[in-house]
Amino acid sequence: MRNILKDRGRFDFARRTVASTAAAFSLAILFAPSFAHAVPSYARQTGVACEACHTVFPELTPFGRDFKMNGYLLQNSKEVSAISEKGKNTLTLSDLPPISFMFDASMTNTNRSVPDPVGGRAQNAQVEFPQQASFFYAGKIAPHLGAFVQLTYSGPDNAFSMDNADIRAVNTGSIGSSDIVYGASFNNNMTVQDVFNDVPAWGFPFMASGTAPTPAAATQIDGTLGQDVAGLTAYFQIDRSFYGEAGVYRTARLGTAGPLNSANGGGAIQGVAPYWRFYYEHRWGHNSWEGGTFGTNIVTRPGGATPITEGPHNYFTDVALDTQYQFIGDRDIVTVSGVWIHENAERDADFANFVASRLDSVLETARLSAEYFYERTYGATIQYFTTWGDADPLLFAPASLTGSRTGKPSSNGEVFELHYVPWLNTKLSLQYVAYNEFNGASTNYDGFNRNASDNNTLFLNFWFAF
Amino acid sequence: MKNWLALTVGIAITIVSGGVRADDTDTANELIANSCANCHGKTGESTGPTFPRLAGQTQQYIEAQIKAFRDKTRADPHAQAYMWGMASNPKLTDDVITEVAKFFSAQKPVKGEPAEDTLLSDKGKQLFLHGAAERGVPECAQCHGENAAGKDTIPRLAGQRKEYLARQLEAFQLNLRENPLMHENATKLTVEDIDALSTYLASQ
Repeated sequence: MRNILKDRGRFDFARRTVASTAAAFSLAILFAPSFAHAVPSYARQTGVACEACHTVFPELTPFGRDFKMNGYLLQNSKEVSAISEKGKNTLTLSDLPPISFMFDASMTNTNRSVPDPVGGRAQNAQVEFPQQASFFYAGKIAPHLGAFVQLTYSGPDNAFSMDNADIRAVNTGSIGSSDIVYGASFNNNMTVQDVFNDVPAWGFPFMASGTAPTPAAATQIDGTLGQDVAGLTAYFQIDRSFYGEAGVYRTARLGTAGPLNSANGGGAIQGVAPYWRFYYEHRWGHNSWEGGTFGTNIVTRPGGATPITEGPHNYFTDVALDTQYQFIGDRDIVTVSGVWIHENAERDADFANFVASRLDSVLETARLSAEYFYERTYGATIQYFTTWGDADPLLFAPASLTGSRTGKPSSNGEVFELHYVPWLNTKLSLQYVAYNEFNGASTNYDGFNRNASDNNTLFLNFWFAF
Repeated sequence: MKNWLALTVGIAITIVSGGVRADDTDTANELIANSCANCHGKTGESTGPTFPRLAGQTQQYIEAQIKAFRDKTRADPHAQAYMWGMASNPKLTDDVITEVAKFFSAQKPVKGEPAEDTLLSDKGKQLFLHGAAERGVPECAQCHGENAAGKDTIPRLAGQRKEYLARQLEAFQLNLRENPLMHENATKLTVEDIDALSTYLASQ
């Protein structure tokens, strides 16, 4: 799950630079962890073990996808209930509060330590204890209402903040011989409501360093808007196969006194941004395959020096394709997934504010992952990731560590990860991120003699939830 | 006096209605729709190879298994992962279990699909109907019936999912699922025997 830290960093930058773009560079966004979560309170509510919903947390099995699709409502624990005089069920509250806790500690070592502000070198082998600790309210709220709400303490920020949230109202029915699930999701991150592990909110890597540099350019839908928006979407699913969803998102900024204005509204969505998602899933035997698409169209206002209610805007259109294949055997589990995101940007505001040197640009991102688990205990994952697009020497300007000498947004490389899962709610991972290209070049990418391989990262992670 | 009257009327209604309370049926239907159907399908057809088909399964067998899950006396890995929790639902009383079992038992069994490997299926049929005396493997049909339809607490096997059948035989072999008779029988089966039997039965 792309984390709040990443997103907050991006928007801090947007406010400073009046760029209102997530494809810009900042130190904050370079230290961009990815987090994902599995929630034991669901296990307590359903009485079903983690392995029913997860291959290995946080990746979902078909059963887990159904559980989420149906609003986190399956309940086998004792509950407090009430009915009206007309027999309507007015309350079903679990005897056990659906609260969970997650803890994650990590150690990060980059190939070459990063520069510190006074010209020296920062400490390498950075330990974060915790990297993050989260509380969850995750479970049934009412007969047709369920939630996944996360509050996270971030070690680097030394603060609690709202993290991902997905509150959904769901019902089921049938049309002819087809089973229908339909509902609405109220959430704060595009794709966090999704049930597949190839979309930005839930894709690999599920945990990443909170201190290592990571590429700066990212599309809007690729986690950029997480926790900075509120979205309401409606969805339906037919026979566990065909899925359609549409909704709108509007800026709902954290840590900012409202209403948004020229000083604090940088990057705010004008009106609402539409979001759509369609996929087809086929399940057979121990296998399942999904292919789908999602996207959004966003108009942002720069704020800052330009009055938020006036002036030019930036326009982003994101279209993505995703696919996931999964084999779940009693011993072997294989997952192969991919996502490709294409973004067209028209930066009228950035151009007018001398933040961008071109009006129109394209940014592309693709990730392809393959994972194997043996008896849900030992696993390995490999991912190839790449981002490329049009060069823009103003938007992607040289800067020590974070900048680009070439003005290109290109970055690519591989992630290798080994997993050990001694118990279903505890995971130890060793991850290595190797960069072939970073912010537009392999050598001296920032114009300050730092090479892409200097940012190669060894990341040791210990993660549990209960 | 009022209490006695109410109790008497209640007992009379229960007897007249054959011992089934409307509440139990409603609760069973609710559980079937909200819990069982997620994996076993709305009419017990099953949504995947992890989950057995319940449509047309014998009522007594379903009842016995749900109670075994509830009492945690059936403890194979999938039973623990899925069914211990499901069966721990406080709404799942003995009477409700009976209603759930009745519902699934009354559904039309799923007709198995013809086996792709007919040679393997034929071998399974031979083993099922006649056993393998030279290895001490008894004929399965002796208890499960020639059509593998089962009876009383002996489960129906015809049309069951192949993967599920194979997993159960392996569980009996390893004593992960306790049943002395089935353990003894299953330990005489080779990997190929299990493959053949499950292929044949899944095609019925």
